[in-house]
Amino acid sequence: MEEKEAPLFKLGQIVYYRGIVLQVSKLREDGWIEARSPTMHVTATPDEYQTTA
Amino acid sequence: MAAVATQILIDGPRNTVAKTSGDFLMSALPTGITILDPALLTSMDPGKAGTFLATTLRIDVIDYSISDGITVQLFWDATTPVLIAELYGRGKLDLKPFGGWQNNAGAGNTGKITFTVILADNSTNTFNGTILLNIWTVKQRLLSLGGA
Repeated sequence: MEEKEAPLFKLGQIVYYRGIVLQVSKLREDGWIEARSPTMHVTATPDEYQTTA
Repeated sequence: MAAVATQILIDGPRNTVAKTSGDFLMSALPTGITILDPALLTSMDPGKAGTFLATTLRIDVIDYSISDGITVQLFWDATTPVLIAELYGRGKLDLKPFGGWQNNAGAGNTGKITFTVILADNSTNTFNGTILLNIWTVKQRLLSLGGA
């Protein structure tokens, strides 16, 4: 049986987008990930996010 | 390899200004991206107890700069999203003199403004697409959508 790869990001996880702190708000079906803060929201492919500052 | 970011520049009791910019591969165009969601904006009546969120937004001004070869379709989000406009190239739309573009979506209207990018011309740009939108809106709380 094939092992499934663990997802890179989880809902509610804190991520960094070009140094800006955001929280993952949606894992889209097309593979893109939505993350937001009160004043910014980003929809991007997973490679655009970092998990550490 | 692709990201579209919206920054909320103004989120007051009445006015909202959002700047959306991003780049993406022409082979994987962004679809159904939310620009503004009234449910996530601040209250229209911050002095009052309770939260009076807008239910819809009207668009007063759009500034846009879109790379050639693609068209940005703006939608009022609903069960069946309603096309607001298709933007191509660069320009500024001043819609204020006639009261702005009003949300005319039907069933399942969420008040959100979303966009989708489609290919307009597959011969000009085969690398990256870029967009910049600056959208000024006014918050509304329509009685027909449960506003009080």
